[in-house]
Amino acid sequence: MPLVFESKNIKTHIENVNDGGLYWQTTPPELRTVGYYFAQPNGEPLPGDPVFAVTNVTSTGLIAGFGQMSMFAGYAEQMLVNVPTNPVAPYAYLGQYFEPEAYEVGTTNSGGTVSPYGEFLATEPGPIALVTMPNYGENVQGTGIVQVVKLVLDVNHDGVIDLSATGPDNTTANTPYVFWENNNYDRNTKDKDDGVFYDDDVQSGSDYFTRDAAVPDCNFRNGAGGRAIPCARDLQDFARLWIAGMTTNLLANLPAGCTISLNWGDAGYPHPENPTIDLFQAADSDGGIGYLTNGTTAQDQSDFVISPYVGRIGPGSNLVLNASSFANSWAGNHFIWCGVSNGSGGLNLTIANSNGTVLAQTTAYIQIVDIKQMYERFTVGDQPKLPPMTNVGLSTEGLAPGEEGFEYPPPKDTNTTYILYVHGWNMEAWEKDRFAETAFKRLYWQGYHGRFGQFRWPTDFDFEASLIDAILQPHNYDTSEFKSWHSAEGLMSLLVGLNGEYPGHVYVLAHSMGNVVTGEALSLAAAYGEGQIVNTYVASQAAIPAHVYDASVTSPYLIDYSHSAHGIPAPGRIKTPNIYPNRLTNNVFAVGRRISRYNINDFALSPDSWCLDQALKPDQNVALGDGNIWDWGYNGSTNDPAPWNNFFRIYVGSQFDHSLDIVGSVDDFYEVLAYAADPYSTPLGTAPISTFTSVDMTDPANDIWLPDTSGHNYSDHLWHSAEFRGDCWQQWGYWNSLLFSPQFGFNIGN
Amino acid sequence: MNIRPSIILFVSFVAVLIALLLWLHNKKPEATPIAKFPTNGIPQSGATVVHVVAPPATHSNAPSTPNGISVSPTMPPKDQQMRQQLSELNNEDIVFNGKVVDQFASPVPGATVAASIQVNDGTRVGTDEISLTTDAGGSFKVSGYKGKALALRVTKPGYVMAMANTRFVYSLLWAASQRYIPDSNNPTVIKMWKLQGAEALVNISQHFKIPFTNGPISFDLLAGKVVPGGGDVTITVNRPNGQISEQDPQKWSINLQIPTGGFIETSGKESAVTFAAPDNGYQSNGNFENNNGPGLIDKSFFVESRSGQVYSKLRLLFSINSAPSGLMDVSFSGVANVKGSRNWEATAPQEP
Repeated sequence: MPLVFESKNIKTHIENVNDGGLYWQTTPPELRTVGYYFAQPNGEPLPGDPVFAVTNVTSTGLIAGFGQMSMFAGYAEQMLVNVPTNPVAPYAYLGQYFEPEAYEVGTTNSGGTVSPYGEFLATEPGPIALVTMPNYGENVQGTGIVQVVKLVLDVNHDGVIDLSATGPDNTTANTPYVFWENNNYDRNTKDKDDGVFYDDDVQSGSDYFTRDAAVPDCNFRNGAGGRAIPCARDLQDFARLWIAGMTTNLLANLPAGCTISLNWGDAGYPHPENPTIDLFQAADSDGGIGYLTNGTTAQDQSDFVISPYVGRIGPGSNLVLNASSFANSWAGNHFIWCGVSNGSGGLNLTIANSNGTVLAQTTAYIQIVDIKQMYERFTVGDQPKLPPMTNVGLSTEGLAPGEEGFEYPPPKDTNTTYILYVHGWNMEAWEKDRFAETAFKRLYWQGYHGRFGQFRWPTDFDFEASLIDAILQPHNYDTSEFKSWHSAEGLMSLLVGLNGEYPGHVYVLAHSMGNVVTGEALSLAAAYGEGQIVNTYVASQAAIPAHVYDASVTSPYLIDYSHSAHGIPAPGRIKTPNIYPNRLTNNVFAVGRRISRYNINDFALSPDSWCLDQALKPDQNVALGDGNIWDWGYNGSTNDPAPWNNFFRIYVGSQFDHSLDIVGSVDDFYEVLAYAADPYSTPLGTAPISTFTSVDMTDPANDIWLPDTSGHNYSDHLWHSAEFRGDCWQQWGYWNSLLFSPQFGFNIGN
Repeated sequence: MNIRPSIILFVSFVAVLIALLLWLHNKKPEATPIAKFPTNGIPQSGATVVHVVAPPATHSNAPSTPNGISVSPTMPPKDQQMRQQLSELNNEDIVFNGKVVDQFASPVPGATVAASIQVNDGTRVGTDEISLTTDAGGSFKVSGYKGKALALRVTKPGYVMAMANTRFVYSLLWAASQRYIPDSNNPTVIKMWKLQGAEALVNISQHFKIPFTNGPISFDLLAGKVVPGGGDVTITVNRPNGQISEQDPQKWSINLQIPTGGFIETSGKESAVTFAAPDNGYQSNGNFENNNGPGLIDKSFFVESRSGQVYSKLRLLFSINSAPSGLMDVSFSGVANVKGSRNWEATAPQEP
């Protein structure tokens, strides 16, 4: 760097002072450093520039972008000391070399590296001190403060944004932050069974009970036409973005006309591979995760007045954050954002002066994908009219033609965890995915880093009807139960395979009738001598008789209508012998721990729903859609001893029955369980049992569910699948304890 | 006419093939098969699994008449049977005489009672909502409705609910022990808590991993430490030898002792609506067997310790070590008033 002096009084340059040709008979000037001047060569004027004035002082708006090289110049302000009287300072500017290490202000922590010539690579956001080397003969050093800004994401979604250069929340072009597109339909909707309003993920298109379902959430607009978040449930589809290091003081001291903008580096020249995202101001003043964990914050966050829309950043666009349209001309340092369209790119935060010269830039790399490409969807079929397959396939439903179902690459280590979710009854294919995706998202926000998949099986559904209407259709519920037993073999093969890939680290969450599939799959595995293939099995709201695991279950967990003078079971039928006790107890040898999450007041499993359907077995006069009307029965007495091989089936109008061999035929046994045999106990999902760790989800001590402030004591339909419904903050306890609790969950650390 | 067996075999084979092709043609592909989870290697049970959607319309070659079974096409379909049961058993008169009182047994007049009548009568599912106000004596009455259950929510500024369950089931489909029987002569008391002013409480959230010993283990819940003696709670473990797990269940137990005080066993739900430590009823020690699966004791207590200086609402989770050489897992959670006061009002829900 050339040595440059500038005279304050004479206003002329004196160059080559060491050549000895000038003033050689004059006493050499004796200069002493009295201060320092720092500047960005492409921003502020430097000594020697025509516009530089000796009155210039170091700007408090020196700025650099994290992770990218910035250039700074430092000058020692020097004065002549060997003048007779009244020395005037500053008198000259001496260019400085820099120490190699920059520091976080007020600490000895490194804030970046600096070349001797002022090339600065910031590795921490915030105020960073650049220190000059001492001049020859002087023992002083100058310190210039540079404000380093960083775009930062919670890449490891642990709830903590790590600002460090080596921490887990950094991205590169090769390792972008992968997040899902907000392409579902979260809306406040009305339950068809009890009229309760709550947030849910609804099907696209119109639905009688659905409002504003025409567009996916990423394009939702409010009544005034403004981009808005449809409801607090949608917040689980938003991630956080911070501009770290941007202070009010820095904003005030940036050069006039400066712009601060976000773009994909293709402003005005759209690159189609870049994604599109939408930004909203964060409701949490500290940019925290309250929008996912706290009801008040979630409410504020989904209020477009309190937390306004900032804008959309897509290919070719440029979002100016210090525009006058924002309060105090600044959009803020904390945002939440969602994916609008898929793609991958580097999101640049660019601070440029009025000439367009870039003063600082920092980049976060983001990739947006369809969530169906983030978890595995195994299936043995989804069409109720077809039998479940024994071979497990990967679902391609909902993907573009020709696109293959998502499959994880082989795990990198044997400690990788895998959570498999098994859905319940009355789910269309899209709804199975929405439940699975809700589980995926809510586990994700708990900081779960393992892998996730769902197992789909061909349950019947009747989505247009209320739950009660649907359950009243025996071709729907009991036929699904039949298929749930049959789907177990496919699930077993999947679990065996998964345990081969993730030995000892396979966890299963089954919901409602999914517990028939899971319980039988584990039972088959135990019978086949597969050993322990599942680490922990959590049965949630399980729609399977408690007796299959615990024959000692007694009142009030019995289906007991004996007090009624009415005919239950149906007239003309005896109560069949209880063939259920301990039917699945053997599956303990296929699973390390078994946990049941129950709710004694569960709507769908209650005495006027699941229990009543079960009590009316053997089914009679059932139209299965095959042209026949079917009856089932038991040709014996209620108190018959085992093996109770006296069940039969007959179609109405026939004089002949067909014996069902529950001893020799698995098929017949499944048929009897689904259509003919009376369970004597209430379902596992409503009854604590001695062979599982039983968890009352309604007990406040368990921190699973929030209080039911309606006074209905968790008896509304919502609660049968509450963990998949409502808002993320409402179900935070369920998923947190599912993942972390040593007693009541998977006990998976981060 | 003589037909060669090979021709019969060939024709049969072609027929089966055509049937198979037709089935495959009609089956909409919905999944891509994956090779890593084949069923080929999985041992099969002796029974043949044949997958069917509906039971096949085939009949036994050996006709028989079911004993005592009357099969008639006039039997109502199952859905009609269910609707009939719901209309007859799940549609009771909802009559409720209530009286709202506070912890001093004083009536709470002017309280708002939001009542939800839950209905599922075979033709309608939902709730009928009504709102009432308690009279000068704290009383209110619900009548003139039919349904399966009544859910109540009572509110009044300065009060919070002090009952864990305010849902009353009338349906005859529920077990008798779970049903509510109205008594016009004896109104049902709805308990509220009149807030007196909360005092600061200490949160207890402690987790210990301890090797098995059959000697007493003492816990200082305020310091969060295992101490040689004294403290707030002492636990002595009674554990048989050998493995304890779901695969190897065994009975085991703990003895809980409060060195200078006592405990009252309660439930998490009761604890949540209890805002002052009971005056009496404490016992100094007691035994508890594993009550939640093979490996866990899960209990809630009101505890008076340190000679009445500390009153705590405590939840104990005690996980036994699966192998005798392993660690036992003990956690305490709850709150404590350490000022010698019984006041737990700080745990009351915030008024809206």
